[in-house]
Amino acid sequence: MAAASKADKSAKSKQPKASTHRQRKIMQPAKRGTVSRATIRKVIREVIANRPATNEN
Amino acid sequence: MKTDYSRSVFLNCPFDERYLPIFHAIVFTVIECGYIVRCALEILDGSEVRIDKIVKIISDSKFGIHDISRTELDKVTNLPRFNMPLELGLFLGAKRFGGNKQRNKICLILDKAPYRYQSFISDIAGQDIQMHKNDDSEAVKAVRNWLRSISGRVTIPGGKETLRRYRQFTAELPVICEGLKLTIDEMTFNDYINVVSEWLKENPSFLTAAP
Repeated sequence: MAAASKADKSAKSKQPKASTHRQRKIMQPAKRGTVSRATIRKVIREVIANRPATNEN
Repeated sequence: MKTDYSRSVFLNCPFDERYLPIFHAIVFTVIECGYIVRCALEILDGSEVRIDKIVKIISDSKFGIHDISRTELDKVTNLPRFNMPLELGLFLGAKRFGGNKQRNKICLILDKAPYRYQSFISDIAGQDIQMHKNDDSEAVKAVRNWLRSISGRVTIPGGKETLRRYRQFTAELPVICEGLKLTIDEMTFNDYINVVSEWLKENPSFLTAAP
C-alpha cells in the first residue's frame, strides 16, 4: 500500500505542471462611473464579435 | 477604499482637452502593464479639498508619473501653471521625509523636449526624465519601458506590442462609446478606466492568457 502510494506520488511529480509564472491579471479595481461594468462588458463583447476577420486571427 | 500600494501609480498630469490623447495613452499602458492608475479625477466627492485628495493618493502610491510638459506661460496671465511641479514636489517630499514605505517610492518624469526642465526646475536633474514629444506613441513607449525596467516583470509586453494593442483599442473606442450612448469627451475618468480594464480582460495579450 505504502509502495503504491509512493509510486503514485512519483508519477504525479513527473507530470508537467501548468506554468503560472507568465500570468498577469488586470489589477485596476472597478470605479463608480456613469455606466455599469456589465454594460461596458456587453458592448465590448459585441464589438469583438463584429470585428472583421483578418489573416492574423 | 483599500489600495494596493505596491501596484499603484499616481498620475500627475494636465487634464485639458489638448492633453487627452497622451492622458488616455498613459492610463491604458499602466493598466496593460498590470498596475493600478490613481489620479485626482477618480474622487467625485466635491466636498473634499483637492490638495487633500492628492496627498492621500500620493501616500497610497508607490509609483508616480509626473508630466511637466505643460509648465508654460499662460497666454492671458503670462504666468506658468505650476500644479504639476508642485505635486511632483509633494511626491519627492514623501519619498525623502516619509516612513519606510514612502521611502521606496519611484517616479518617472515626462516632458515634451530634452533638457527643457533645466530652465525652470533644474533641481530635478538626476531623476529619470523621459520625453514624449507631445506624441501618444512616445508616451506609451516611455511608460511601458519604465514599468518594465523598475518591475523586472517578464509579463509586460514589448513597446511595439503595447502600442499595437493601444491602437486597436483606440480604433474600437468610438464604437464602444456609441454602444454606451456616450461621446469620448463625455466619458469620465472612471468610465475610461472601466472601459480600458474590461477591454483588456476581453482581449488578453499572449502574456496574460492562461496557459
